[in-house]
Amino acid sequence: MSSDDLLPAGDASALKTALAPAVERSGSVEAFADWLRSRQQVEAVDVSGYLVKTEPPQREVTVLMRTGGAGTARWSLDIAVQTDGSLCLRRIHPP
Amino acid sequence: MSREELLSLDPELLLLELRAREGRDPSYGRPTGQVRLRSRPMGQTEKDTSTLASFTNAEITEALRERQKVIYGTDDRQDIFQVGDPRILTDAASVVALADAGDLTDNGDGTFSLDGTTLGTRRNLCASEPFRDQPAAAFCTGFLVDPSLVATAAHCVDAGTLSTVRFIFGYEMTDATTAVTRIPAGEIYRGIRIIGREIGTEGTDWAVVQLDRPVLNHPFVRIRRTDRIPVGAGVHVIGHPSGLPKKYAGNAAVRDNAPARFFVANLDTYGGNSGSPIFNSATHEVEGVLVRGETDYVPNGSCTVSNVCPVNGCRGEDCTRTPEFARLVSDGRLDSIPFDLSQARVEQIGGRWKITVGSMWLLDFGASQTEAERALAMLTFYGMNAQCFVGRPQPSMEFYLVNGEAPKGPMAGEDAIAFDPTVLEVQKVRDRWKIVEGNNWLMDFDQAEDEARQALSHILRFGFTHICFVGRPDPSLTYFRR
Repeated sequence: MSSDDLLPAGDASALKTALAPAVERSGSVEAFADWLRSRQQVEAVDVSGYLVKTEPPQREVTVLMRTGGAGTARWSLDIAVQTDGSLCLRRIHPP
Repeated sequence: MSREELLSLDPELLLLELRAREGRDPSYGRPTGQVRLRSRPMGQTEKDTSTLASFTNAEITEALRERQKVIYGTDDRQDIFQVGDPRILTDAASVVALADAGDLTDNGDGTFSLDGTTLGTRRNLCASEPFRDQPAAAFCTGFLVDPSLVATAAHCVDAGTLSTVRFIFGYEMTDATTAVTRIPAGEIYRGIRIIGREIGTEGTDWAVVQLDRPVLNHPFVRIRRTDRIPVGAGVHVIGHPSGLPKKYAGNAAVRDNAPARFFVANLDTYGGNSGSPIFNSATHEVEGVLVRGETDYVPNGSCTVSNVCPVNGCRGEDCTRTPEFARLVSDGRLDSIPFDLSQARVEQIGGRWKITVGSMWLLDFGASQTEAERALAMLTFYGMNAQCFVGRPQPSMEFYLVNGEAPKGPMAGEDAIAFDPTVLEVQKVRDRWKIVEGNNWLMDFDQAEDEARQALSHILRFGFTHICFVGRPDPSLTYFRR
């Protein structure tokens, strides 16, 4: 996905499908957050300082992004940090 | 900086430097030697640690461990076989592991094997770490709040993944070297419905799951239904840290009670503890559900060790408050009046036909002697000896038990309607709370949601499969049986 492609910001399921490859490609949650910040649609990204305590644990990234119209959508992304250090987007939900 | 000077530094500073190097801290990307100290609320302070640059991760970790030992203060995790307090053992018996169905292998003899590599291998743990030779197979924890209901964290289950989750009792160590990973089929449950779930808003994170059948050989917990646990109150957690066999960890306390929907405690928890019950150590009532917290492991040279935090350091572990979901959970009380069936008689008192037991009357049938006699025949047939209620003094449900169990039918000529308890749900239909079976409703509770949930709890707990009547269409007696 190029940085010009619009993310389906209003649809959690479609957004998960769109973002999952980028999460898996990223070497760290912070690198993924930086990639998100580079998107024109994205207004703010916040990476949690805590771990969601599943096994493997998850980090939470909250993103505020513009939808197709004038509105915005805010989502929380649960990203599992696998034991080998790789990342997997588990779930997208309202913050 | 000398090693002695390193050992004199603030442990939280050392920890944050490690995190910054690991890339897990918000200060990631800054040059080593400039980290942020965090405190709650989210105030941030810059701190110059440039002198740490000359130390390796292993040296800083070792210094941290020398200063603070492990986790919050000391590592308080214990295997259940090490616990002697019978109250804690009762608490532990209600705790269940959540594992992927794909990690269970059918042995063909009524047992399943739970697959899990050892924690040491999975996490590349250093030799000094406890429990490294134990299997790590669970991904979350839950606990029984009712014979058929498990509470856990919302991020552990959702409607899309529930069918892949198994709820497993008895996954624990029986001695220092033996893990129970061969699980009897009877200790493995499926979730059939999420009856409530909330995540996100103001940090809340909980789910309540209905199991495929009631759990009759494990106790269910009492939960706090209102108000808050006080700051400083002692708490303990029981769960599956890092997916390990069940562990107890005490010696902790509530240290931040300000958030409306969760509290913060210095519990020794890891990934896999999500959904664990947080017990009040004085009352043994569950106060919260463990949901998120501090980093679990940090690098120590070529291997990893448990994170280290001062007792009052780091961010603490967040626990969703139980009143968040208490409305979905029956309070577990059984309002029951035993009676001596051998003394039951049909009598006319003040012009009304009644079933009496000694000097008390049990049931009133008005003008219908026939219905009174039929009801006594029913009580006698089943051997019923306890009358139970939901919602007295004007009960919305009555049922009868035989020595504490459901009556087993049928009785010839009985007016009975069969239902499938596994599909029953409490729903609000046209502004009235009902127990429904698919598109049909079974019982109506008007505005009393709590009574509807209590009634469903009893139906599932006792395994009722039939609702029976004496005197339809306007029955003078309704009862339940298997």
